Amino acid sequence: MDKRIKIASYIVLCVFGIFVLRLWHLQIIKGSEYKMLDERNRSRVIDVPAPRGVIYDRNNNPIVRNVLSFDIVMVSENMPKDPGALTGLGRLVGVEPEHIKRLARASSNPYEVVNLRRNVSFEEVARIEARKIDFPGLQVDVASARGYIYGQTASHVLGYLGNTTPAQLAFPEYSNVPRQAFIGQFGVEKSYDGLLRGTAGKKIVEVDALGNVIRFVKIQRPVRGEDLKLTIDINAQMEAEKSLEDKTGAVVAIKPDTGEILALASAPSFDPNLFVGGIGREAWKELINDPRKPLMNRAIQNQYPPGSTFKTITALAALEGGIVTENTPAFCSGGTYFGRLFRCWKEGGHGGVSLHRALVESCDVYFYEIGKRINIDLIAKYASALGLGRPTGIELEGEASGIVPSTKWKLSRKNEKWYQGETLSVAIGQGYLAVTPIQMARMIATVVNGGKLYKPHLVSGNNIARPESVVELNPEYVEMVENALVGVVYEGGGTGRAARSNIVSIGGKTGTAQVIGGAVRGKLLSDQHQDHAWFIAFAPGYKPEIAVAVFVEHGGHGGSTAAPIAKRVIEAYFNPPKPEGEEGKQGEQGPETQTQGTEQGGLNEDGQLKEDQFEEQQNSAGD
Amino acid sequence: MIDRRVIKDFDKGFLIVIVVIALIGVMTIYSSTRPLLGTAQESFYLKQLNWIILSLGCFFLALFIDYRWFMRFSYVFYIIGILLLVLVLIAGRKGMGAQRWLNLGFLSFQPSEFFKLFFVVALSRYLSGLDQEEKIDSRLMLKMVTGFFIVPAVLILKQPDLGTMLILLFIFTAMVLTAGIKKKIIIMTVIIGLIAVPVGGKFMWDRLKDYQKNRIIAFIDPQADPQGIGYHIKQSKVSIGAGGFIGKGYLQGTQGPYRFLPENHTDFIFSIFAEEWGFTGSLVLFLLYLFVIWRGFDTAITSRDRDGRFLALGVTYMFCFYFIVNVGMTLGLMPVVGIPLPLMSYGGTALLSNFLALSIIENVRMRRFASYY
Repeated sequence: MDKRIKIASYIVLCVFGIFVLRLWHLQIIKGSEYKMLDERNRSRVIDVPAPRGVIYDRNNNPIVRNVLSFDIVMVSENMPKDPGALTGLGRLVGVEPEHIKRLARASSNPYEVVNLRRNVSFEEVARIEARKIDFPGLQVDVASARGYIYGQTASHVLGYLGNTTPAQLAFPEYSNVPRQAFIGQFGVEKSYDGLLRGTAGKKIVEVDALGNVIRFVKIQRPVRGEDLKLTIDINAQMEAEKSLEDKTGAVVAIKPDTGEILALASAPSFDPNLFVGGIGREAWKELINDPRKPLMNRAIQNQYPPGSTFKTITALAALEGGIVTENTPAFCSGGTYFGRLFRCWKEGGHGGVSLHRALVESCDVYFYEIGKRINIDLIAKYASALGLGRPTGIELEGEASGIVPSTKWKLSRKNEKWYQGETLSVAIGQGYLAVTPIQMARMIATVVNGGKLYKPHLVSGNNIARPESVVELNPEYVEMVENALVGVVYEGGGTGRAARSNIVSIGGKTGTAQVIGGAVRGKLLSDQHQDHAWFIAFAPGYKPEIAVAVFVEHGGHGGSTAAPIAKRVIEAYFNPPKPEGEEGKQGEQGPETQTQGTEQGGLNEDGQLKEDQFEEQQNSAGD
Repeated sequence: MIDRRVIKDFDKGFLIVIVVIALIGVMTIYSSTRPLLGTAQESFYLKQLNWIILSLGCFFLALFIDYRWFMRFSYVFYIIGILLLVLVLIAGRKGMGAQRWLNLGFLSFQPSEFFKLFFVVALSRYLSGLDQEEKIDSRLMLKMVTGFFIVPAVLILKQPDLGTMLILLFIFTAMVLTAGIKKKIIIMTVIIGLIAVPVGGKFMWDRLKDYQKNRIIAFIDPQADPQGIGYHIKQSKVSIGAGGFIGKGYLQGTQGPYRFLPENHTDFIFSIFAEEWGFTGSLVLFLLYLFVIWRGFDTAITSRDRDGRFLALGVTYMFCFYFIVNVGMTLGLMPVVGIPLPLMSYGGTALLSNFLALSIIENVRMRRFASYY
């Protein structure tokens, strides 16, 4: 029996031997491999998004800033696979379970921290914190989000942020953007994204199996995006939008001697704060299915017939072409024949008119008479020289080019020769003509600055603006037209009397663009068939500092609908509202109510708050 | 009652090594459960320390009783043990899918932990009573299987507690083999086994719980699903491997406190130890365990009578089995069976039962030269 006990002890000894060999194998031979696995267990590389640049208006008023946002994040490997748990998580966080599944599938590695929902309210954070224990790896993250201080104001200029699309990721300029980061997807936020975005940093942290951050290892600081100073004047911009309230249309205000955009408004607008937390499916559907198309920037994306505002160009072309002089008379009896009857808008007619009075009263017959004698290509030459018929090149996407008809244009487009009768329509701004509000604003700006055609821009940077081209205009003729346009507002019988201001002298030209013409006119007066109202203006009358184009879709008469808007915008520019009132308004519209975000207080410019938190955690982990 | 000779032959070294191992266990429990984010240290290590003190007391108390007294009442213990196993099935507390705990109001314990001891004692008594010259034949073998093994095995499987059942099977087989058995039976068992394993294996496999099946699958292919069933084994190997030659240092381990390795203060405590103390530390720990086992075998050989011989042997086998299965599991050499590392794993009942078992070895050892009276 002793022999058998010894055998047993030898067997045990052998097993110990095997164990020692195994230990040698695990700890010595494959030690470094397991050390790496061990570190990979704990280490997480987390992108630290750079705070975006702040956007200011021309007077250094911040318009877009960064606010703190509570984001709900989860390590993708911790996302529940079981449908019951998935539904529970979805309900807790307030997103659809399908959405979580999609995010889990899209994540690049199992340790990626996935943003389930951004910009969550305090109440929801408290609710989620209380039930966090049920979902290991669920965390509330403090991040920086956009706050659009003035709400809807300038939404089409500022734009909004959103996730990078797969198509964008293919481009090199987006290569260093963290997958989860939001980038500019519309407006200036998109056009200047490269500048505003900054460079994302990285932090290496140690986490436990539940994803809790235990220790802060290393941070590569993000580089804050550059601030952007817009040429926008926030007072003029706000006034433009306020005066467009309940209307569909656009206002563009330009500084004539530089091409700087002072205001660019499109109505209806949207609130970019809706996009701050990632726009919900429902909200997005509502926006794109809205029949009034709030996402469309009518100042640049839509083209309309210019109506009588175009008479400014016709007058200049006729003067330059020697077809009329200031004193060339014509008699308006309410219409004129050229193949058919061309009616003046005033049924009884204007009687005897000169060029000056024809512009002041917007007499159609006078311009029909010009149309009978002028070559369409001469009109086209000046229209093109003044920037019509092509995109202006403003830093916003989706600009329409408009149409400047000419013999060549008609031949190539319609394969037909030009009829002089068509010139009559073009002379009063109808026919094939199509323009965008921004083109009209630039046109009037170019006329009043003596012919220097600037590219309209929202950011001037350090460059001194140089005109794109110079239109050869006789200063005498320009003065004549300018005087007439001031007359439109100030003389008796002027169509733009509604733009009269006590603060500053204003010159302008009304336009009422027919949506449908001829016999059916007047019979169909539903909103869809109302005329478009135009008003192009400049102020002051001598050495203008601001040029404005106002367009109101189906707004009726330019003089009654559009002219008062131009006046309000111009007055807001020259006489900004008192700061006290402004503060009250800002408080009401501020991000506190709009974005649920908190003041930037704790977050310094480099997002250092987070690092401090880490150090705290590190200290407590050390004992 | 205890003569001077007995006190003189008390093996101090044996006890010291046992206590040292248990204290290493407390240290490792402390390290693996230390909090990282400023929360309070959990009191596992203190509870374990209390259990060590209690167990030491019981260790000494048991020494006063001559082991032959145990032998005299061994069958009574055995019957009591069986009754407790029945009771646990009727009135036991459920926990983690098994019904193993009996609640006595002031404390709860696992009867199966103590039954293993009763089993060893009863089996020793029976084996020592057999004719020394006669080898066990098939008739006797059948009698022993039915008399000792079948009833508790079924009761324990019913809880279910596969680990304890395997221990009983191992102790039974090892002791019968050591006692001497006819070669014919061994050959027959092997043949029957070869035939029965494919058939019975299928039968058993179908009756295994899902988690048990998963453990076997995970053992065979840990890479199959690293986040699922193979997770324990993978993380255990990562912990041990990351220790390297000299280890990360005490309180420097991460796999436990960071909770990557589950059950880190119970079944996988060796992984945590190996992570912090490395190859060198593990080797020292192995030598300590080997010392205990060697003393067990030595006691069996030098015992003054067959009673002591079988008792010491049974306890040593049990201890070996615990150690080999647990460490083999953490090293990824054996499937995950919920068996703790004796003396080190957190858990009061197991600790007490181990101390009592080892006190039997000491009991036999210190009386090996004492005269009969």
